[in-house]
Amino acid sequence: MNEQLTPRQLMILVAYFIIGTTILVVPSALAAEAKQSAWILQLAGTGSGLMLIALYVQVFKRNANSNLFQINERLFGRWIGKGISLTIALLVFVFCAQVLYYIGRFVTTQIMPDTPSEAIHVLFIITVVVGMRMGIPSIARTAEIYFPWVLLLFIFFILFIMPDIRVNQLLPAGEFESMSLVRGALQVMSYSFLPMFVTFASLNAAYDWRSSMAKAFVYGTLLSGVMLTVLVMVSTMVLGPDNTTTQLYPTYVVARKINVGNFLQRVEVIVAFLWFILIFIKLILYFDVVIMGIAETFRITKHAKTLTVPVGLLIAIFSAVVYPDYVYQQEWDNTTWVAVALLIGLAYPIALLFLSLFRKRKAAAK
Amino acid sequence: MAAVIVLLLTVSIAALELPRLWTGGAKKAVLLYVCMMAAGNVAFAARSFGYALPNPSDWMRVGLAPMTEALTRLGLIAS
Repeated sequence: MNEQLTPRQLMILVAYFIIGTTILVVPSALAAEAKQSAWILQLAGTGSGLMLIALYVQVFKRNANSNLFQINERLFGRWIGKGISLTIALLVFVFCAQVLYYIGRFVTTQIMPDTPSEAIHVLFIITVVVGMRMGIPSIARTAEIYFPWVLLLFIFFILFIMPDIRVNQLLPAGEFESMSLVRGALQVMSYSFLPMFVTFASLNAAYDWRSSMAKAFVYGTLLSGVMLTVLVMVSTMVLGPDNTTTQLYPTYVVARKINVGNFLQRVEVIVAFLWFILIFIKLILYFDVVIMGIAETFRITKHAKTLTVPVGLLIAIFSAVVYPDYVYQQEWDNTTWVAVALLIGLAYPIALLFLSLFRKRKAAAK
Repeated sequence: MAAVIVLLLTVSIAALELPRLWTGGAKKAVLLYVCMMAAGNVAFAARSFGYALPNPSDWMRVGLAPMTEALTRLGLIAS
């Protein structure tokens, strides 16, 4: 599963991963924090995310040619390393189930209200399992093929909604408490950047650090940052800050408003299609972490692909369990998720970086 | 009924995959595969018979409660 990725493929995967589920959740969450200045929080979140990327690249470069689970065993020792790897695989298993829930919930509330969400979960997980069996390089190539379409759909979306934009909805700018800025940036980081570490560290063996991989991370982040900021601004300018806060999926509601000359209408499903591609890639990257985590822990990497069906089955079952209802999801996402994300995306990479430095010094002293 | 269909499906998929693994000498992989498939089937059967499955999100919430509380007190999580 660990063939080399090109910098362009990595950039696209990073951008897809960051936009992934964030596109669904963040605009309303940021509008709740800072009303018309939500876009400033998004910018602050992207800026802080770039600092996190710098930290992650340091960890990746110092442990080149090893994936996250091999790094764990080398730095923490065999048994503790295996324990940490398995814990991460289990945590990401829960994330997979949650992402699947997001898709099911979106489809059943917005597009197909009479279809049980479990049916959507099963269909989606089948595609993920099939994709996973093809391997990450095939997925990276798929992401590459879809990239112009994603950009094109995004640009068309923005162009078509232009007539409904009211710039004065963004005024007065900058009226929010300083803690709102910190909380908003933390929300952006927790959805977009903090889970990136475990996801992209498990692909670390597939990066060729001689080519411009670090730049790929930065460009991917900048591209997604621009797209998300534009989306947050457009949501606020079209719907207004109060309406953005109360909507479940503000960008989808914005897409519903597209009406070009009473001719081009009801194109919101195109936006939904854009999301499906992004979320599919995010889910498959998470899925890869689970599979690789289990396979590395039990040393069956050669046969890792055979685990896709049983893991897919378990994810599909638990996707109906992890969030019993919407209120639970909101509460869990706003509280526990932030703590989980800080642990796996900040404390854990810092620990790995220090251990890498310590090991290097110890080796140099010998 | 749904549980039986899932069981039949998983058994047919396993029948396609396991012989290749077994003859290839990957016995650990076979064991892991069977255990996970069995867990999946038991979980699915339990759900389809109306039993509530344990929610891993709850475990995470309980395990991280002190950290969540500290973050709320610092104002990093809106209370």
